[in-house]
Amino acid sequence: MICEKKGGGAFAVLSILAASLFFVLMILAIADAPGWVFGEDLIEALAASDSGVYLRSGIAISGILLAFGSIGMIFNGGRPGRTAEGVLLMISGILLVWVAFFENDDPIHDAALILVFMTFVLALIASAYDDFAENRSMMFGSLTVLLLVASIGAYAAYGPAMYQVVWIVAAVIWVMARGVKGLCEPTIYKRK
Amino acid sequence: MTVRPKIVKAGFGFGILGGLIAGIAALMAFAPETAATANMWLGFLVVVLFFALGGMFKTEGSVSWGVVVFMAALATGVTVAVTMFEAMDIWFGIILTVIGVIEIVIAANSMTGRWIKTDRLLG
Repeated sequence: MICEKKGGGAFAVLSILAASLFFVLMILAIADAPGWVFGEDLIEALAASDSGVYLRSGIAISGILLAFGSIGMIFNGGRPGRTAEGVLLMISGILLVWVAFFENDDPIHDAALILVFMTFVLALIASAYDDFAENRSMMFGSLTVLLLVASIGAYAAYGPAMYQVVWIVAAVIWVMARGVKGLCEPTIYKRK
Repeated sequence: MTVRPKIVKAGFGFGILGGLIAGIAALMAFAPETAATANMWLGFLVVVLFFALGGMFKTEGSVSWGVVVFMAALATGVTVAVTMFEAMDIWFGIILTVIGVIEIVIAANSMTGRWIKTDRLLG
């Protein structure tokens, strides 16, 4: 017997909060840093500046919220793609906290950043697999594919300063859309 | 024989339109210099994707619903990427991106899905 229940909204709200807080704090850091030029200076330069405390706080808080928000995806009644997505995003969230707490010149910072990137991309792929399997969530799956391809294009087209921003904006959009999707989706529990 | 829903016909129409516009954009990117060859190649990639997408909305199409939506998203994403790469004029890129988003909405529509999964087979 399968019992369908609308739930898991709290976890979805955490995801939305993670994306929103990070974006707001990043905008705050950019506005507070007069010497930082959009599209010319790297995000690392912003993080190392006096205004970097806002950005690093945003990274740390959003990482924690993302990790907690992904818990709801792991226990979902037998969807391997969604479970993988949840686990990968949880790891990504935890690693974001490391990125925030370790200094830019620390090897742990660089390693954590690379792992965040890898786990996040793998989470996107797992999410796309889950969405297209059994035609579950076509719009969200197509958004995932569109953002992935556009991000690859940005890497080919722009320098590091610009494509970093494109990647960050794409990630924020995806996490927010995922949160909204989680609010609309019922949580399915299987009873034996 | 079942009739194709209007939204599916619109999907075909927008696919062909997107392919034609992308073709014009690719030809306008032509220049005698070697470097422009890459721009034309990228433009024609967009042409191929849109024409293929349009064809998937035909009765003779053989792919699943998920593949149609994936292709619509891929065509739109590649259009955005090619525009960022400045391989086509930005206004063509914006128009094609709008057409691509319309195609995603059409492809993801439940009526389109029902037609692809069942009615197309009956036709």
